[in-house]
Amino acid sequence: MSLYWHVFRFSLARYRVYPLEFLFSVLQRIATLGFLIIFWSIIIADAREPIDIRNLASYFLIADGLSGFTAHYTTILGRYLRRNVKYGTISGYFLRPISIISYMHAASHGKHAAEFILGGLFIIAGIAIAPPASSASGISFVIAALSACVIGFSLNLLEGSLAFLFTEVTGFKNALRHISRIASGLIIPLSFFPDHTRMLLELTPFPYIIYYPVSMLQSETIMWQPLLIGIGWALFGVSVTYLLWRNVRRSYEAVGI
Amino acid sequence: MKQWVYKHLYEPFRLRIQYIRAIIVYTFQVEMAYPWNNWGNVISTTVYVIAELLFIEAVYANVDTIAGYTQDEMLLFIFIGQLWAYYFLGILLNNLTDLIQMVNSGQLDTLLTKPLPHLFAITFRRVNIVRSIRDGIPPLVLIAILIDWSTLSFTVSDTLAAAIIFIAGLTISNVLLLLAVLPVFWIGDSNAILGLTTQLIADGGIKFPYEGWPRALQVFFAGILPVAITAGVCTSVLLQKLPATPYLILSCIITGGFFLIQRVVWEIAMRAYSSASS
Repeated sequence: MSLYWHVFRFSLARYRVYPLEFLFSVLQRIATLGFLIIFWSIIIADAREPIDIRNLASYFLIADGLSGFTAHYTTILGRYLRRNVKYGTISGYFLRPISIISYMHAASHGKHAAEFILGGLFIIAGIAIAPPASSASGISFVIAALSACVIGFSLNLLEGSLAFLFTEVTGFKNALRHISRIASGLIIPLSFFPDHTRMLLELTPFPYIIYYPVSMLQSETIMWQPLLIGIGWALFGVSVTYLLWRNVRRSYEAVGI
Repeated sequence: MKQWVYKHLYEPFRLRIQYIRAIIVYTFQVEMAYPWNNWGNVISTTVYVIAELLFIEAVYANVDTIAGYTQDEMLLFIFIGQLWAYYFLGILLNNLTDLIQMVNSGQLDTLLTKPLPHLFAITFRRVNIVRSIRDGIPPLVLIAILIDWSTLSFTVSDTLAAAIIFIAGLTISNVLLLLAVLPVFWIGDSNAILGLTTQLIADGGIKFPYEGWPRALQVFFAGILPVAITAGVCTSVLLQKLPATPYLILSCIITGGFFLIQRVVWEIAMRAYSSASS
């Protein structure tokens, strides 16, 4: 375990070498979120029914913060795996007595630690603007957020696994990214969608990454159905993607192996 | 006089045209060598546009207009914004990220030793027209089909002015993104600055109509950080929401100003550059 902690810290060190990278990464996230909130504040001025700007701002802050932890949109682990497979550098890791996923996880997350720091701050700010309705809401949010992180991890592992099967996975990865951006509720709460569209989206794991965990925080009662479905998707996703990863690893051929 | 024109105008222009032609042919050959590798990009861009259209559909299910734009007008705005996006993805992005990598690895030295206009050569080192067309046509056709063109009215003069404003906007974003990358000569890495600038252009310029911004931000996004010219101002002029002539003149002046800034900053960056071999 301490090995992966050291790997994480080593990757984090890039911010010491390039401190401005950290600053501009932070500014980029703040700018993205700021524009989103401004955009919605102008939309709700024209809305047919009144929409509470405080709740909306809280929603987007928590949603954006949570997305930093789930990495379903940025796919930092998936990208890292994919590049190592594409350029053959993963061969070196296979020769070492390490868990490749844990190693890559630590390395990729250390490199993007700014995402987590900012994500945590955004979640705290969102909760401060619109505190949870009850302690049960808070607990269900934590459980749902953990499930969301596992679903996000599964999507990353899927991207990395597909890199073994196809020479170019970027297109597929980007397509999944664009779908998850809308379907997860990252830029628009799913409550804005017509009922039939929302029902279709709920057949996918995406709403359980962002929309439902955040909604649980703002709900007075525990939302049992989405909570359990989210846990189900997390278990299913991690099982299937891990099996896929194991199978593609066995079929991997490289010079020297 | 004739000699001066030949030496300072004709020759540089001819050299640039030759370079662009060679680069386009080369990039075309590279792209065609592995055509199936990048068809995933077509799926990606089409899915992106479908997701955007779904987003617009969801928003307009709750409002009648956004910043005074009807749904068809908003789709036209998205169409023009996507034109910028495919220019950026096919022509600008790779060259800018390559520049960062070339400065760090010393490969820039090779380029600087060649008898070429260096800034031009770097900016258009790869011109992937195939990618822009291949990735752009399906989603653009989809948007065009969804627009109810009968609800929109255009005039020839405003359309011409909008086209010139669009080209001015492309040039400005070219310059802005290059200026975002140039800090690599001093600090060693400018990927995050490039990311931030791209985000500002995307969010401030092609995601939201110009009229939607508060007045202060309109002045900022059209004058100081002119990201709104390419899509926002262009669409507004095209739809006759803004007067064409003043904004046409403003766009041309801003483009000229940014060209000058680019030249100056480039010269300073070159003086600061210590190559791998010197």
